[in-house]
Amino acid sequence: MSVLDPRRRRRTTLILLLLTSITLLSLDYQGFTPLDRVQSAVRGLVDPLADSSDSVTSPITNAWRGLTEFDDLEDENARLKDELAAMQGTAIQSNAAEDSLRKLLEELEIDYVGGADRLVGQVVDRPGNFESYAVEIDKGSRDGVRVGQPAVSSAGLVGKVSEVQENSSQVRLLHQPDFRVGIRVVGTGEVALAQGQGLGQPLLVTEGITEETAIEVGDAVVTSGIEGSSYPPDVPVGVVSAVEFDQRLLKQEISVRPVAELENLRFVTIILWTVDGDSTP
Amino acid sequence: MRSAWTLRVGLIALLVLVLHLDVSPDLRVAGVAAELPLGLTIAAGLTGGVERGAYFGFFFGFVVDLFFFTPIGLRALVFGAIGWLAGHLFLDRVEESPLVSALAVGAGTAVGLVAFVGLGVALGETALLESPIARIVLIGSLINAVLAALFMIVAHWMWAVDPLGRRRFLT
Repeated sequence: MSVLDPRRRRRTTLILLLLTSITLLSLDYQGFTPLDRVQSAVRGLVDPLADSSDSVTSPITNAWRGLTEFDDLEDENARLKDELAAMQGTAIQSNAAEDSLRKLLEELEIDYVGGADRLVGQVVDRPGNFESYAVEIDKGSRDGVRVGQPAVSSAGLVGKVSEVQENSSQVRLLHQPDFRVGIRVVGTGEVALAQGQGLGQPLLVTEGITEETAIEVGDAVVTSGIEGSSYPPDVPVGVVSAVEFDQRLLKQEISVRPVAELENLRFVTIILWTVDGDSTP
Repeated sequence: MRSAWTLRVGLIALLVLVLHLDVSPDLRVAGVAAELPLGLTIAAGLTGGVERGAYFGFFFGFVVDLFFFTPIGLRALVFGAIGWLAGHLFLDRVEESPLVSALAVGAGTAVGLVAFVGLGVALGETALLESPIARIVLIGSLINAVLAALFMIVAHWMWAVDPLGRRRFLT
């Protein structure tokens, strides 16, 4: 039996691990179920440990934050006081605006979310150094969550479920650059396709809005809900924040600012609705 | 003996994982949290050699992958390669000193983070580009360099080797 010399064996080790990693990546992209089960099992083991370590580590982390973020906390405190005062004023306006929107939707015979069942999930905090276009929630297939179901907040559309495990799910958010949603500008009947543009950026609508359509900044935008759409009709998406006219192509480009706060989400509501319009049990 | 060795590796990996998930995000420096798993992987290669570094990096990277939105296998790939590279310093008998360890862990962290972002973006994870990459690489490397001595002590205990690389318990 031949024995590999050490140098060759080390090279073989690297190649073997690289190939295994590539296999894992391709299995993950294909949604290989056993890998999801391993993920659920490992998270189920480690997450409680991480949660319970809070009581031990929180005095240290609090002291560190007190030291390093004291100035920031003072600024934040002052800012929050200002915001509270402003919010108390705008709360009344918001209630009135919400009533107006609902009345408008009723007038247009819009049936908001079609009465589909909903499920509230808490966002699982997984803070790291790198940004993500997704959040994880603590509800999964056991609770009736399915891939493709829309996710909303109290304000409007947030995204849709992209991965489901037994006890948790992943929700891809609206601002992801390849995220597309069929929209309708309320009052115009125009149906178009909006696309995410990245964190903090408005959605961009480049297709489907004709030059004759009168669209103004501030117009409400809801999901189109056309046949085969991934979303039920009339879920609030955002408001038009900019309208531009492309002279060369003779079409309008509009920017839509999402009404839902996509950063610092704490809870997400999953609409138990599928593409064929059924509610899952 | 083998079970004691496995237990030590498992215990350290679990402890560092819990710290990485729950503690280091709250102990940020200039908004950047320590990349503890990467630091430990480099120390594991520096103290355990090429194969141990590579295998430890691969399996630990795989486990860390399970907790984040990036594709499963991405950290396994990067950490495995970084552990393998770090192991060559051990193999080349690079003298172990606090300064050398700090430089190796810091530089390795920088290479690992850049490789992670580069590969991630190549795989379509464009959200990584929305992060302040230069700041994360710079501060993350510095934090790990400062923590290098600690990583080395832990890795020595994990592999049961003394600072010269001889096995204490496994011969």
